[in-house]
Amino acid sequence: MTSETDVTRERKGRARPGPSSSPRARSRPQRSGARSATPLGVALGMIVLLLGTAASSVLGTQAHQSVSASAMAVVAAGGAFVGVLIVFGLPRARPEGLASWLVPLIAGAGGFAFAPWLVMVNRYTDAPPGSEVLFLTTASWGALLAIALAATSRERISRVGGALLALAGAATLVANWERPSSFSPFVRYVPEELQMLAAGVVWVVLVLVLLRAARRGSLGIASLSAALGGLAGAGVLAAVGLAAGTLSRADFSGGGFWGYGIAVSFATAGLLMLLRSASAEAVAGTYLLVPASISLILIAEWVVGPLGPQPMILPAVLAAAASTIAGVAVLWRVNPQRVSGTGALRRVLGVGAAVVAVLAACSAIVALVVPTMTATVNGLRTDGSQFRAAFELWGYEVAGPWLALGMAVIALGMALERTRLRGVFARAAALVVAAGAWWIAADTPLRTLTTFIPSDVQVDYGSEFARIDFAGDPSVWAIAAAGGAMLALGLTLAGRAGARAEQAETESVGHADEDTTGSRGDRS
Amino acid sequence: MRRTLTLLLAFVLLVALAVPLAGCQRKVTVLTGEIVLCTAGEVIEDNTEEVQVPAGDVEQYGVTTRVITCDEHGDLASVYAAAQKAIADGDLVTARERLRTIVATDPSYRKAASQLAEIDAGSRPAVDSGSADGGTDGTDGTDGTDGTDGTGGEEPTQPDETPVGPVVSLTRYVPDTIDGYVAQGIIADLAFLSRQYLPTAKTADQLVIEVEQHVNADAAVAHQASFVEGYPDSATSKTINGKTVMAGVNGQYAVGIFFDGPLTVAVELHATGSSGTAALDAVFAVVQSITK
Repeated sequence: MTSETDVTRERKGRARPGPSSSPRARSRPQRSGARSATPLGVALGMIVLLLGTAASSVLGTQAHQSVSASAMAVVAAGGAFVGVLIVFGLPRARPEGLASWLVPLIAGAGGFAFAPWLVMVNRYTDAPPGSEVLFLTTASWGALLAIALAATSRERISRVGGALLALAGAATLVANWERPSSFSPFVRYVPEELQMLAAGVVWVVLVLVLLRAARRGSLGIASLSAALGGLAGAGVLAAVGLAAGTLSRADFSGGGFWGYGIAVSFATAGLLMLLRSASAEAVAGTYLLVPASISLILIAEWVVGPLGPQPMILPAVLAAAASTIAGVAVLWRVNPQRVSGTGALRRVLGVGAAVVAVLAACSAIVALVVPTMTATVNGLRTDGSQFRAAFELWGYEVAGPWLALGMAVIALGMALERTRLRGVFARAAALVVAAGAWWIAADTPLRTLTTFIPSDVQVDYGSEFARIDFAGDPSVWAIAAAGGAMLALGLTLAGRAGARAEQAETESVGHADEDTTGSRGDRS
Repeated sequence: MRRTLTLLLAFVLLVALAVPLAGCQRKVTVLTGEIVLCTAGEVIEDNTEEVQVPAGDVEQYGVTTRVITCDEHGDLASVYAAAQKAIADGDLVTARERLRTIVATDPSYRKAASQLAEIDAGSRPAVDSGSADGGTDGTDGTDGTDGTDGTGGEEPTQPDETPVGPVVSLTRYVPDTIDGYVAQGIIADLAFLSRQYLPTAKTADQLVIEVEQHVNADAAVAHQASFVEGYPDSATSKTINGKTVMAGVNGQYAVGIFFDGPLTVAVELHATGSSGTAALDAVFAVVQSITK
């Protein structure tokens, strides 16, 4: 043998470098079903999900008044099944094991059938108010999902802050749809509204199960299992409804009813389009944006429509929408990096930013529990007597402290987390937008109705028989929180810019290798 | 460090929220007591006070109103009744004497001052057959301490009490200023508002503008047609500033009504003459003014 020893093998099995004809190694996590998310794809998925969810919310509000909750669950599950077929068609592969279809099946029964049923069964003809239902079944669900996703993230603090800011923005938005507003969550229909939140938890579980499947490359199978689970769950609910006499053939009629089913199918399709990218932040963000999108519809109606009552407090609505968008922008993960700056000034700035942000967050928490605004009620009771009362709203009943808390938590996260510089600037921009919105919408009362003002007075709010007026400025604590958040942001940016300059200087002499010290990934 | 901080923040937040929800009892300041009003509209006694009570007890508090005819206005009422009878009988000398007595005591008492001015100007005023403010007719000459609960909240909205809510957008048709008229308060409901104006000219004694929001433009058109049917005399229509105004007369009332999308705006004048036909031009002039 005169042939030269093959040094390219290095005892690793293959003789030559280059592509291998063997099947892909299975020792690494598979992402065969996950597609890399292009901005256009994510935008398209968000639009489909947004329109589908907004339409299903509006049409569900219209349809539930004459249709039983069981029928609504059936059409929702049917719509979800159609949505899965739209995106994936019929499956070409078989499930790899029991868990790969049984868990999605159960989650689908919950998310596609039980959750819609739980929402509808807790809605009465005109109660709870539509603004509360919208907030508790879209934005709140989005916030729950965002927090669940953030829990496993290295940027959990800023992302929880983003969820809080977006949720507060959504609440502020619907509270400005009219004044006096009917938006007063957890005042008159507490059990019903808590159950709507519980339905949100069930839906979040479904999304997380599908997200897990997407990361394993089995989203198609899991989605179909979930959809079948939804149909099975709806079947059970329908059977119970039939046995109880609450479901009849007449329920399956009406444009709103069928429109609701179609809207759910599109919402499901949009959901799956986003999950195909193995990421659910867009899903959470879209749900948080639903109240803002419905507001846009109302604004469009107002602009192109004839003269008539214009109920919205437009500047506050726009400011609240900006807050929501700012919060949603923070939800996206930006993989952390290790910042190599070690200068004393940079360290001082970093610690200072964290301390200021902690103080700002504490101020915001105090702002939540101190009196903030004053409400004055004047009315005429049914017995002819006059009624006049004044009371203070706690901070948690006003938008300002919540918005400030969201901002402070984001600032705290930015101070503590080693977010990449590009992400820092994006979040800084979001915080600046939120600060501007806070200035405009901070004095929005989140509760107009109470348990202690006589109901015969409250029902006449806005008429010549009764009125409620709010007065007062943000508390010192809330101002300190918002200002502290901005100060912490400034310190963070200054420290990060200095570290960046130092890092660039180090790289220029060949001692830095950002790739090797960089991202350790994000499991959210 | 970060995890500890996160948990600490979450804990503090939960505790902070739990305190007001569970522990702190909210205090509410309520106005309570009784207001005694004279049928002439004056407040005789204000026995109200502001008290701070627990939120759960708020429903037990309120302000009741009692309406009586006070001694002073009881006397004025009998003198005023005598003056009206004298006017009706054509005895303007007696009427003038009675009215002077009233104006000397209370210049704002009903129409005493204006009737006196008319008599002094050489004309014969119209008899005031209306009831006294406050609901009880004070023209019977009795003291009238009837003690009935009044309806204090039914007074018209004062001009400074602007309506709130969506209906605010309808106020563009009830401006504060219309030439020849003095605006009174706006009375607003959820989708309806009206405003009374007092004419400065003598040809009419009352102008009311009503703005109503309908479901859509078709409903507004239907309302316009049905509304004007109630004013069958001298029916006419005119286009003013792009609005088709349908007008008609019923007795002393002259009406013009037009629609603007889903809104209907009705302008109603009460003429002092025997027929409202002469007031139609004034109605059109008001429409011209509010649609500019």
